Amino acid sequence: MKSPYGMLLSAIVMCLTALPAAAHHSVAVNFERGEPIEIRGTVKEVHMRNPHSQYVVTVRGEDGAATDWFVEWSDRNSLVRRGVDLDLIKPGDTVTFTLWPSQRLPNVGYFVQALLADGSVYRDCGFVQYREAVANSAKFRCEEGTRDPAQRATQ
Amino acid sequence: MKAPIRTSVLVLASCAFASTVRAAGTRADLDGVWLFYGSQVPKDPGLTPAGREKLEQYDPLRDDADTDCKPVTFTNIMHTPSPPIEIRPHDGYIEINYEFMDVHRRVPLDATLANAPYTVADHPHMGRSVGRYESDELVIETEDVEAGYLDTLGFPGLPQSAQMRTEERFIPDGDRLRVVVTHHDAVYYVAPMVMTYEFIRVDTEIMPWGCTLEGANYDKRLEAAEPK
Repeated sequence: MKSPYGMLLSAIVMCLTALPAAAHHSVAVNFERGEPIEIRGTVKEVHMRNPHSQYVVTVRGEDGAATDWFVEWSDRNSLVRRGVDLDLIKPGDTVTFTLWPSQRLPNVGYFVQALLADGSVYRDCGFVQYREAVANSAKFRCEEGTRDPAQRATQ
Repeated sequence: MKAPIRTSVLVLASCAFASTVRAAGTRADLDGVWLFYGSQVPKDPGLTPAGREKLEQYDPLRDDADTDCKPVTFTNIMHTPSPPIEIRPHDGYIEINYEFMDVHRRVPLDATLANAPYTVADHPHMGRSVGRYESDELVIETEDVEAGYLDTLGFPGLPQSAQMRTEERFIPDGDRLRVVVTHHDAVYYVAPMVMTYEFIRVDTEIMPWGCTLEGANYDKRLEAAEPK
């Protein structure tokens, strides 16, 4: 798309009253998108699927009791389209997840980012960044979504 | 052929050719894959008392049909930002493929709603649709939808009755597309309720969705925990 269209579209969007959440369920309705929380645990299950991906993470409390957390993420197709490496987190990995907690259910949160065992941050750059790249005919890259050395070289 | 007759024939042929070119141009403008770029949703949708009551009853954990891998409505699908929409005009019908939930819609042109087939063969709850061109715009009318909820995303919990009639007006402008959707439903709305969607043309292909119940619903979590 030519840049004048992109500029015009940006102006239009600024005038629009509402953008929905970046997932098919309303994230705004189901999750508290204020101050995120952190959990650290062992990844038990990985499900990259539509309409929602999910990690099941076993978190141990101070008393040693284990609790399973359900970490919801975007749909698989969107993550693939935005170049996110779906295999970076595997069962057995120890990961610190940053989450928006569920408004209604305990031990449920929406994925914001993950701190991997090697200290790198893993996240999806998101629909809005992808959409703006498309609108401005720019190549979309999300370095935080992959461990590809070429992609992460600019970090 | 005498000159006046020949002239008339030429004029008529020119008009027919111009009409054909215009129609082809319209179809070419719509043809492609489109990505959601924003929406306008009324802050006050103008609900009747019955509509307000239905809205208050809405529970996103249980009333969102998407959680059963069942697409809610076209209004709701267009509020799903990431999965793109593919529009392919054909002779006599329009094909619209929504990546979300693998919804494949066929809209006959110049037909009547009464005789129209279900617009998505495997989802009759989405109603029957017919389309027509008005100048450069494609207009699709839909009726015979299932009562329930119209929107679980842009304005979660907006209801729809079985009497709802919807007009979608597709307005292409180069690499931009605006879709103005007008919902007529006197059961739940005091006046026609309008939502507007913006799209941009994208160079991509529709991917299979393959909705999984495990990925769509909250049952597992509901079983694991009592609500807060």
